[in-house]
Amino acid sequence: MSPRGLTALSGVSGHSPPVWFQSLDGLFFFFLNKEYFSPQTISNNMTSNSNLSNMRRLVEQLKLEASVERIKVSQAAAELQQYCLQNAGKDALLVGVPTGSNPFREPRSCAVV
Amino acid sequence: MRSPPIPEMATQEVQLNETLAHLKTESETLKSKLEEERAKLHDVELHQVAEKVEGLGQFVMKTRRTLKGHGNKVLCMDWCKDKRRIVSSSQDGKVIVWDAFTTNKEHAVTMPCTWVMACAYAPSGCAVACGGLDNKCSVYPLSLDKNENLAAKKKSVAMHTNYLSACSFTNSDMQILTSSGDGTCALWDVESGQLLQSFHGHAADVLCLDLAPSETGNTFVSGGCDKKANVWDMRSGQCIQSFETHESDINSVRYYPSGDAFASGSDDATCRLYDLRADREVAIYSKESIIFGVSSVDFSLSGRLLFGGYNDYTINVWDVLKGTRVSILFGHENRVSTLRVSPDGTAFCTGSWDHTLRIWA
Repeated sequence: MSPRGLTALSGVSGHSPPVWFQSLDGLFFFFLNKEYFSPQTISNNMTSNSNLSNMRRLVEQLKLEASVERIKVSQAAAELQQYCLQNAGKDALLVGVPTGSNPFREPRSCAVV
Repeated sequence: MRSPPIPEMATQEVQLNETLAHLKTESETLKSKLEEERAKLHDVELHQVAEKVEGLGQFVMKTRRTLKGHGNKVLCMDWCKDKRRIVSSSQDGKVIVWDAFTTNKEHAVTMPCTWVMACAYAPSGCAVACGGLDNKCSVYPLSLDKNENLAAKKKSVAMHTNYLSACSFTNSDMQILTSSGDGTCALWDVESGQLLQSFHGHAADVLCLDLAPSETGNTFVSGGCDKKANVWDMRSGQCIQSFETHESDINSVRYYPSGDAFASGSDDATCRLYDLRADREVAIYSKESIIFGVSSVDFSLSGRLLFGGYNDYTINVWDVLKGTRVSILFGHENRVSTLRVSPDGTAFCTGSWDHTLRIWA
């Protein structure tokens, strides 16, 4: 039984058509938005408030991201390429290393005990 | 018929809805503005810039060591800074420390939970961190005494409200960064277990993270089931850049060695490269024949090669600049779940659901 002694006569949900209530004094009436007085409205408002603060946060975040300073892809790509080429010599998986200096390429020695 | 009095709450609700709608429009406008700004600077593709670069020759990479000992799927591994030790964790709760040169097991710990999805070696080499379905990240100091019971010295550091998906020590043994199925990342003080900073912004499970190379400052990147890769400022907790071009969960993120870009691997079967200064995706590594998800990615030392471990049991090696595949490696008998290049770039290690780890060079 919801507050105010109202009995819902059909399913109460967020999206259903108007619900008919029968009050204690026998009068029928309906609310277009049925949960005006129910705890559901209060929590709906709270959810809406948290939705609101979430949206505000999202908008602030997007503003922050939009204000990031960017450079052209051509320049960024050139610098990535330059880093690769500068360090290629040290990259063992790329160019290999002189035999004997990659410990993994050496076969494991077996010790006879 | 009595009509209900209009309560204040209804008016408030209407007002809220109006503001909500207004904010929604504003966010849509900002999103398209962001795309516009990014597109303006998209004057060329990475592979076009790299046309003049010499192509890579044939690669001979083979399994040089196979580490056997886990009783179930290997889920995660990490290298020690000494370039020879490895820590790995598996579905059955076992965490093992190996000497990759000799393939000997040096330490073994059984966690009280299964699915240990995350493990990391401390920079000093004196401890390992791990966690998974227990929602925690625990640190075990490694003792020189082989007989000592490691589990006795365990320290619980991080507490999440869902599974731990990844963890990493920062520059020292003192702080750990974690990501979780609860949608957040967090920075913890190891000694006190105190939460130093939390990072909110993902709309679903966070699956992976990677710290920027120390020269580039205090940022890290995370990837999640919301298909987004977010770059965070560790001090403020703010998300400073966000990228959403993948079509499915992002399983792995790894910084380019210079720190100016990062790669991601996803269930959509592609790896992508995002440049942080251009603020956009600059390359996609994919082939029509590759239809299985990427579980983990890592760069070679110079950043020229990108290694991807895939759910079809293979490892694909990509030319980062040209966008082409240079090699495909076979060997594992089940999904490759984790892949890391060694600290000096001489080899890389993969862990698989076939219970083994392999060292490739």
